[in-house]
Amino acid sequence: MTRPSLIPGSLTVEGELTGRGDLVVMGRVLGDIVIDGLLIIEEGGAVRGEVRASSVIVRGVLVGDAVGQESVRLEAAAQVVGDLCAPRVKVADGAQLKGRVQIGPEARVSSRPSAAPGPRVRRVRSGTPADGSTETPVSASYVPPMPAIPREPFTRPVLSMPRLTRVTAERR
Amino acid sequence: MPLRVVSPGPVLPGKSTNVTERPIAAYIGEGLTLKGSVSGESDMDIDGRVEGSIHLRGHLRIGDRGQVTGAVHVESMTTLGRVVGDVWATDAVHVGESGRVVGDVRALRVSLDDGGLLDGAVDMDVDLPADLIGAP
Repeated sequence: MTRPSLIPGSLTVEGELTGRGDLVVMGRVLGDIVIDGLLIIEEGGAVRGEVRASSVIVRGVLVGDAVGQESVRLEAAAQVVGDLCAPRVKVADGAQLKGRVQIGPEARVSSRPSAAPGPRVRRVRSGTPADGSTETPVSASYVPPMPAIPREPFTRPVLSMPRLTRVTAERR
Repeated sequence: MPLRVVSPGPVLPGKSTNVTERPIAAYIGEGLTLKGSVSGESDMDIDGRVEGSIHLRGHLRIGDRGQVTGAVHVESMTTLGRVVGDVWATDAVHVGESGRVVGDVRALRVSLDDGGLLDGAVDMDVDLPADLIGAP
C-alpha cells in the first residue's frame, strides 16, 4: 500500500484537494476533495465542502455532500450535514446526520454531475419544517461545531445527550 | 519514512501507531493536487503538487516529484523538487541536486547542492568584518 496523503490535526487547508491515492484528514479542509482512493475523515478532523472518493469513511465532521463510488460509511463519532450518495451506505449508531441518503448501484457518481469547484456548503436547511410538523427532534439550524485552532483533542459535546435540541439549549 | 502518529486513533485500519513528541507530518502524496493555501504547525512532505501558499511552523520537505507554486513561509525547507515562488525560512533552506527554486530565498542559512538550480535572489545575513561594513 502506498503511503496515504495526510492532513494532520495541526493543519488547515483552504482550497481543494484532487487527484490520486488515499487521503486521511485529521485537521481541517475548507474546500472540496475529489480523489480516486479511500478518504477518511478522522475523529477531530473536519471538512467543509463536497467530498468524492472511491470510499468515504467519516469519524469526524463533514459539512457537505459525500459521494462514494463504492461506499460511504459514517462511524459512531461522525457528524455530517449533507447528502450521502453511494452504492453502499452505512450509518453507525451514534452518528449524526442531516441530509438525504441515496443508495444503490444507480447512485454511482454519475447521479450528480461534477460540481463547480470551490468551497461551498449545500443543503444546510434552516428554519421550521415546511409541513409545519411539531415533532422536530433535531434543531434544524444546528450545525456541528467546527473545532477551533489551535485545538485540544476534539471532544464531541453532544453525543451523550438524547436530543440535539437539549444540547443547543445548553450550549448557551 | 514511516508514518508517525501522535493521536488520536489509527490512521488506517491495521496501521500500528507509535507516539512521538512532534506533531505528525502532513503528506501530499504523488498524484494529489492541493489548490489553495495551507497553514499549520506541523512538518509537511510533498510528493504531489501544491498550488498556493504554504505557512508552516515546521519543516517542509519536497520530494523529487513534488511541485510547489506559491509563496513558502516555513521554519526550514529541503527540496529535491520544484518550487516556483518566494521562500522565507527562519532557519535553513536546502536545495538538493535535483531541486529547482524559481524565486527569492530569504533564510538564516541557504545551501545549494551541485546540480540544484536556484533562479532568484538569496538573502542571508552576512557578518562582514567591521572594517568592511559600509564599504562599496
